[in-house]
Amino acid sequence: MKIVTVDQVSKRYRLSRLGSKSIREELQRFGRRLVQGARAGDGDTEDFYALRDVSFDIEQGETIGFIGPNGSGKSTILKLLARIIYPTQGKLIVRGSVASLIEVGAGFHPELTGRENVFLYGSIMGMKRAEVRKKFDQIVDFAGLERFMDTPVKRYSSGMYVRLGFAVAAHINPKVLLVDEVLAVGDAAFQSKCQQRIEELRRGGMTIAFVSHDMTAVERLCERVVFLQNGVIRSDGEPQKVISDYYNAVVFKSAEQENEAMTAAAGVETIGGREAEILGVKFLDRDGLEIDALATGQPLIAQIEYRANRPIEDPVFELFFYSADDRLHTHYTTALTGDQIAMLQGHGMVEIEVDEFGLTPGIFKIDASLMRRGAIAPYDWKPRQYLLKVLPGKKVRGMFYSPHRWRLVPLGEAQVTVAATDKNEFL
Amino acid sequence: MSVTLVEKKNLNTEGENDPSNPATNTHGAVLENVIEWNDSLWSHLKELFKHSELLYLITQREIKVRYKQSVLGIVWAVLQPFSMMLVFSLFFGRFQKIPSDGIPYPLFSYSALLPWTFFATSLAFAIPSLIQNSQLITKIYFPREIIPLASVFAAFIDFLIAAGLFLGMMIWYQVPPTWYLLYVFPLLAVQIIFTVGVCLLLSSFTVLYRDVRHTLPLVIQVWMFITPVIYPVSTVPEKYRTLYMLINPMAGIIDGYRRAVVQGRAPELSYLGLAAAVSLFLAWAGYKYFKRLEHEFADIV
Repeated sequence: MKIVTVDQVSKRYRLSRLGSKSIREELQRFGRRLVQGARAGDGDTEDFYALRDVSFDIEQGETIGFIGPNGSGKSTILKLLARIIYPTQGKLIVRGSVASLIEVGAGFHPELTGRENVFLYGSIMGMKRAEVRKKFDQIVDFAGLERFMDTPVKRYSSGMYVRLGFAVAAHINPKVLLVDEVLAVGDAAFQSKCQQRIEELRRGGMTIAFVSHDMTAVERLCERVVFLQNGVIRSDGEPQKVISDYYNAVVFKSAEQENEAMTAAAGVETIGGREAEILGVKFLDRDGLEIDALATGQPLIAQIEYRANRPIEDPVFELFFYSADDRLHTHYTTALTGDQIAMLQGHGMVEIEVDEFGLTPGIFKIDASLMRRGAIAPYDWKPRQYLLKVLPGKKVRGMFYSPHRWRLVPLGEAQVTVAATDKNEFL
Repeated sequence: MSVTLVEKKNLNTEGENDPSNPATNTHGAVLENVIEWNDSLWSHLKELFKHSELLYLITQREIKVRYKQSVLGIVWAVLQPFSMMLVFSLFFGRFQKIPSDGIPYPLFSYSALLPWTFFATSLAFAIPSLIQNSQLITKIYFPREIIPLASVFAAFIDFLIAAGLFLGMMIWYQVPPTWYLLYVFPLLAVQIIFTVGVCLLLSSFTVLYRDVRHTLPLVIQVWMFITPVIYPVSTVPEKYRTLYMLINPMAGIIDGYRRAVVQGRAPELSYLGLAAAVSLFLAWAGYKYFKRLEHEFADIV
């Protein structure tokens, strides 16, 4: 059953009306209108569409994620579903109660005690008082604030505040739960508690709409993802595909532009390079076709082309993979693996082959360097000169994927039956 | 624009309209409650009624918050009309000898100050209330009229407390209670309807134009002086009186209280009827206007 129907919904903001006007300004506008004719006064009304002609449905029990860059309209969708704001055009149907974890604790009044606020906030979120009373101990226990329930919340630390807010919000029983990045509250222990609770609600069949910038969380939690850009749905469907679209359209594009700008500003930077130089780095797939993107877990071949103007002894080739925030994620070097090269001269190429590339989605800037083993100054070093995009592929939880195999080990009495599917790795 | 809110009363019946899913068809009778968002006042009132607990809790919050961390606490509710009464009695009653229709001046002024303070406090708290609660409005859905209504109800509680003192004064001045006292109830009803109308209209207007907030103290003050609080209605010349009552329904209401409670007479029913008519119209128009603007509150506030 469709629990939410959004049909060609647009949300327009009048920029000139954001932040209300004074009556004097309004009168002036009215005066201008009289003098200049009927439509003149509207000239200063600049419209901004936070959403434009957006349509989608949410099925009962579905966990749907909304992703997109800042200002793409993700949060506007949640606010529309929560009935905080109203669409300018279009039709919006929500069949059932909605509760939102949008800035939990927003309903708290600083002067009231924790206990009073639990009742007030619960009621604002649509719970009956009797219901709050029943769940009160559970809520307090979840927040871990037993000792502070009779303290005004203005004396709470910000962490306590949010914990109490989340605890109340997490105990309502709506048909649709809206979650907006609130998982990043409190300490690690509380965060995992929140995630567990959401997981619990999800398994209980609750419909969840989720907005996040954390692609790993989105991919893990959601069955379906919607990617928004500039208020328009760019793609909608299977998480891996939609997240790939998002990386291609947003993350990679901005990183590429940034990189181009940097290169343009600095010129092609190269350090060293008279005795021997790196001419280029190319990435290929198994079939030998050049690529600029691949998915986590896919094979990768990288080729480094060089020219040695005079004989180079005991050279070492290296590749460094830096993430967008300039942290070194991985490093390949001929000093540790592969054939030892005794001497090098002329024009040539070295190649590395990675069976299953382990980095998680993102864009990587790559350094290539060529140096003599143990030397301090390289013959040539190309810092952050090459780009490789990694798309969602093998599901990864954590920092990286590492190739592996599982095996069943029969032990004494253990009874194990292996399922007969073609995907089963045990067969 | 249309927003449709379809609500099911029975939360355990999802999928009963889905013929492809026979497993869920085993539930019993289904109560389906479909609310079309069609701007009818009736549906707004139903929605408000559904949130009556929230109205209660927010009213409670208003009262608690107002008197928390103040030494005198709830005494403030009495102190305001009472101190005004003392000052008025001294300057207007004793020194100026303003006519009070033969009633002791303290009683004369307090009987008017009491409902007036209720009205003025309602306005002072309800009108800026939406702006002050912008935090709530931009984060969570609920019928927005709850916020100004809670301010009015909180002021009503203050009024009840201050009325306790009035009973003491009646005993002190040996005013015999009469059956006309019962007129207090229709008077209160009309006053509350009028107050709610003004508050709905002006609180939503304040979201659009902050000017209202700055002019509010002035308006309340001027309004008190054009209402028979300090002086009796008889001060206003007979030929203007109907017009006066039409323009300022509070005049008829305040005069009604004074007659019913202190003078033991029925209120001037034509004035009360006029006030009731104006109040009902204002409440209706105010609610309509409020609900029309409500959609934009979260965008503007």
